[in-house]
Amino acid sequence: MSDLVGLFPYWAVIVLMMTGLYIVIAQGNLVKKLIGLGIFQVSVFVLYIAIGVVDGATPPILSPGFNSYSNPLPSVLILTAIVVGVATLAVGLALAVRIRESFGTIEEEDLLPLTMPELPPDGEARS
Amino acid sequence: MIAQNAAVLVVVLPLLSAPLVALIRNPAIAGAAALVIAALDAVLATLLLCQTLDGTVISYHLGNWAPPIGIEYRIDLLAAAMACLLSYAATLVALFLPVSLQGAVSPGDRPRLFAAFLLCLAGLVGIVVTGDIFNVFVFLEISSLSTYVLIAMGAGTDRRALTAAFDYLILGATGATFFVIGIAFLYVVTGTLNMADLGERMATAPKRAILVGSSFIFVGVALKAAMLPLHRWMPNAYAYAPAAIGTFLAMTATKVAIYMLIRMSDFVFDTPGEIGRVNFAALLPPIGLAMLLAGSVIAVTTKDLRRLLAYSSIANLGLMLVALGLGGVAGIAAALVNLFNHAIIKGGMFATTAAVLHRRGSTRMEALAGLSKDMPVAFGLLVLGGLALIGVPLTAGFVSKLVVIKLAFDQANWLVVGGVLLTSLITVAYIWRIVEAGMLAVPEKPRPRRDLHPAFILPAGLLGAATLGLGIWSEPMLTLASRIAAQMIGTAP
Repeated sequence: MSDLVGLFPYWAVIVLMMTGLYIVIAQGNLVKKLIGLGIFQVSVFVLYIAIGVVDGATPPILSPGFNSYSNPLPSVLILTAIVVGVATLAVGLALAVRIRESFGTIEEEDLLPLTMPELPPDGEARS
Repeated sequence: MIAQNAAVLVVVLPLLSAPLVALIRNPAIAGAAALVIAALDAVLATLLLCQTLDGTVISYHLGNWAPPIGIEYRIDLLAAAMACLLSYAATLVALFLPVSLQGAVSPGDRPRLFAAFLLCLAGLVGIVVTGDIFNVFVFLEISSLSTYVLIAMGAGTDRRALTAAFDYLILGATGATFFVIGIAFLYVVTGTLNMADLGERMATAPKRAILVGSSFIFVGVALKAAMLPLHRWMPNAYAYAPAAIGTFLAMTATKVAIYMLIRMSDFVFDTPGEIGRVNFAALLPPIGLAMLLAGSVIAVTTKDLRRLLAYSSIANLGLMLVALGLGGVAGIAAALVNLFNHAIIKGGMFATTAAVLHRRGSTRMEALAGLSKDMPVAFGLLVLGGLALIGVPLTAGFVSKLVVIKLAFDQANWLVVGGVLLTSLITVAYIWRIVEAGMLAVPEKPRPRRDLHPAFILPAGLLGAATLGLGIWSEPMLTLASRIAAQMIGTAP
């Protein structure tokens, strides 16, 4: 029982991670895939923040009277990873928009016959 | 001053100049600027190689914070040699990048493409010079994100570039996330992110957490190295990206993943025999052999020259993994010889293919008809590269295969010997298809003789000359590779 409560952040990480990964694999819609990817990445953010916590310690801000602080490094690391995640999502959504403009669909099963390697090249407007 | 700070300038220069290049309106000026920056970066990398050639390890402390607390850029011979490979590849590609974009990417988009190209270079160089594992992740993402953009730029000639870029984005981001999860596990049990420090503390750390962390990292790197069964993104990415970008990626992206495997061999591959740890090195020969065979067989069936070369790259990556898996100093040295030689051979072939695409507008097999008549130099370079891929003596490819076979022979590993020899035969089959398409197929109408555009002559010619040169004078490459390998094993605990 104490595992269930004490390790709660880690249980949440596992659930989020598997949910995200499952959506990435199982969903055919490109935007839903990106949402799954987002959930998958968020689970890692939670994992990092959880490992920085020290029992009974305060947030890592120097102040008199407190001398046990949580580890600030994982939070700082994950700040970088959040930025990376946002950038990935932005590029991914931009690509999804272009795919919609070019192919008229963002469903994987509709895209598959349109992107067969055997088809002749079909470029967008050249300039 | 510059020599002392070359370790960090080699990353900072392309990183900071990329946004400036994006601001230049005139595509011609932006292209020239990208070329100059890539060339300067090559000078810096050469400077690093000169400094490390005698076995010195440069340790650059960012912001003067001492490692392992601060971030350290650690440049040994391997890192310097890789930085040279990356920056010279970028310089050669930048020579013909503007020409090969004509008609493929609108002029307004070109400066931004050059910026993404420089960012990609900065990310890749960053991966090889840094000594901090979280830094590796950040640089990996910088290079990956710019690669997605670069691949998508191929949409001007083929809209499938968009889906190729999207597939790579999903796989690449998942792989990179696996990599960070792995880092979290290693950090929890060791409390350090410095790779040298990590290797030392690993010995006393709890084994199960190391096992999980290493596995996550291995999967993340395997994806970037296009290891079977995670190779799906690669053929499409190479075939639909703008041809010059395909050349750059073929020479650098997967090579950096192999570099990561070698660099992290402390904790990704472990000393065999210990309970509770997986010896990832043992996984490599089977995966490598599968890639060798599958890549070669699929290459025979492809209908597009660039796709053929991409599958051939998968086979060659397999060869590197096999060599790495054979283990020891000799194994790492053999993998490195393959890495550098293959970058040169395949770079030359992709650059020539870009020249063909520039003239013909297509790289499909039927579009190659009559190539030996109206583009004899290009055809000659393709055949030369092809002979090197087969492993014909006097080419760099012969040396590559020889070192692997010799090593496997010494270890009496007949499966590897047989697999490599069998693949050479299959390679003959797909190289023959290029010869057949370019020489024997009759074109619909004869074309006027117009060989490579001048911009392609220097890069494709240099890489072709190096393919021959490194086959005849193989000694310097072999010595360099074995010195790097000896330094790696010597420093690794």
